[in-house]
Amino acid sequence: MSEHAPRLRSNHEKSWKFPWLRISLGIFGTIVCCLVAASIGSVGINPNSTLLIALSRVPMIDISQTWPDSWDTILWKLRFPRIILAFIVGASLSVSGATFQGLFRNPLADPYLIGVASGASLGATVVFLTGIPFIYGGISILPIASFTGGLIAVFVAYGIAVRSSSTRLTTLILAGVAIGSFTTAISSLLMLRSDPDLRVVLSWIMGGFIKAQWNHSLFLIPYLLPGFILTFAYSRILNTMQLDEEYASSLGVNIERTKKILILVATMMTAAVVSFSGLIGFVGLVAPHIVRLIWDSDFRTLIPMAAIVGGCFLVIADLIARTILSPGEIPVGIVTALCGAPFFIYLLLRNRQNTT
Amino acid sequence: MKIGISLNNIRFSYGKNDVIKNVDLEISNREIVSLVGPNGAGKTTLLKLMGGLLNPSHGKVYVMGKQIGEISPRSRARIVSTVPQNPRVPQNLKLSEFVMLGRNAHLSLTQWESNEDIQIVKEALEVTDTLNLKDRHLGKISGGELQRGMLALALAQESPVMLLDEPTSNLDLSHQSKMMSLIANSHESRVGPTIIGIHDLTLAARYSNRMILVSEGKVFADGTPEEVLTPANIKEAYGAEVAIIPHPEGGSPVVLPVFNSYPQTK
Repeated sequence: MSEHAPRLRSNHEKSWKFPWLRISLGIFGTIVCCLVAASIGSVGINPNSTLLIALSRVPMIDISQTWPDSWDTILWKLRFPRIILAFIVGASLSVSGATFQGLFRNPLADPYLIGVASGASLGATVVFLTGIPFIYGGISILPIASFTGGLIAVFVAYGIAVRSSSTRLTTLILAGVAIGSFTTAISSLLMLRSDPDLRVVLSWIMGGFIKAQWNHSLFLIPYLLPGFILTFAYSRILNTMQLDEEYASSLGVNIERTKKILILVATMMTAAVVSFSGLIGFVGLVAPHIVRLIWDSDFRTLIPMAAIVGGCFLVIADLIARTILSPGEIPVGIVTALCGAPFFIYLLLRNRQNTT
Repeated sequence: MKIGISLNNIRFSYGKNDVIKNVDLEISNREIVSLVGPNGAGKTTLLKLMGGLLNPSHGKVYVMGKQIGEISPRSRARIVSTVPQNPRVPQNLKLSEFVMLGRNAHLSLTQWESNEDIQIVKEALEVTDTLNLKDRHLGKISGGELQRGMLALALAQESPVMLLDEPTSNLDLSHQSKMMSLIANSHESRVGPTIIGIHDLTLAARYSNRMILVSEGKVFADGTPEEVLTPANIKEAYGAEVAIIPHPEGGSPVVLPVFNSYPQTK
């Protein structure tokens, strides 16, 4: 027995210590990905200059300018805010996707597929079109409205899944798709009944970062950062919840409280980003599964790495969206759906093999 | 003797179905109790009531002096560990990671597993003879190995009371007695009682010092295995004719079906 001891120790350290190495690797990858994405566009900038331009505004670093002023403007006014917003949105959708997957023990859950995003978007559409002031008494109404919409959608979808006796795996998705169609129909109805200029709402619904500004990201941080930290703190409990509910409860998990907190947090993160980026599907499905394929399904790796992978995924998807039909743009939601839908089908088939 | 578990006038029903009807029980700390009875008699429900996973519709359940349904899941898990019957477990989890989940109740929200927790898990794996399987995924081990892994998890939980539901149901002959001796050994290292819900009467009689026979949600007989396992009790509770003989080694009762009460096949 004794010769097993050191091996066990080293193995355990991998499983139960903070995944510093993976996260540092991920952050490095993110920086590379963002710099490359910032360099490509209608005006090509070489990645070296992009790096220098990015560093030139960091305090305490002194770099003499060797590039045209227009590059500085393009990067700092257009591309950087857009890339950062895309990253934040992708990271949030992935973390909330991973959370929903863990909570519902359903590998197919995604904020878009289970109707949360559509519900949130209905909430936001109501604010857009009914003329309710965006800011009321110093509080922005938009995220609150989309949060409410998303929350109602997730509870209806989950309620249906629990009530139906058949396999919850697909029922949750079916209920989510039904709720998604329903709320989207109401949104469309509201749009038809409203003022003729629909382009603003339409381009928002389709999902995209064309109008991205720095203050969008700044606005989102106070909603997302606490959500992310709380979800990460709950990752060991999410691991435990992968057992039967009764088993997890016997191990000391407060099932009802955990569900309430994490549904609120994941919905808040989805709703907050939906109110700026519109409907972007499948990010919350694709990113966590890539992490599971590369590393493992331990939520302590899954939560931070899904944020990184999801953020990069959306940065790349947005890069494709703005360059593939240059000078025109396509909504980023189309790009993520083109990658995500086949991936979803692949997961469906793989899951069927596992259960039979 | 200190009382580990006490059930006072417990009733429990699923909807309109009365599953448990007026059960009174006291189990002291040093006892290994086997809970036996026909299918649907209420064994699993009784174990869940003792573990605080279900709350009685009437009456109170005390475990180690605490009203078990009223305390937080975390404090409850530090008093009682439960080995459930055929739970669904994630197939891609390593056995060592699975056993580490037993430490959950000892860790706060932001706390990570310490070297001490790692040591406890290692000992639990060693005791249950599963250390060599620690890196195997749960989907790739046998039913008997998973049963031992679940026992290791319950040991890592370090709770005084242990409740087991059919811990030998999927096991072959040699693994059945191995499992039961592991349970009996673990009982020695804990201060609380061990309750085992089990079908196999002969095995139960061999490893427990008290036997409770439940039938239709009531305690039908309660005492030493010799007192409980009588042909009359079995006939009444199970509706089966049996003969009972002492085991050639140790003398614990062995339950044998009486074949001539059924139509002959040979």
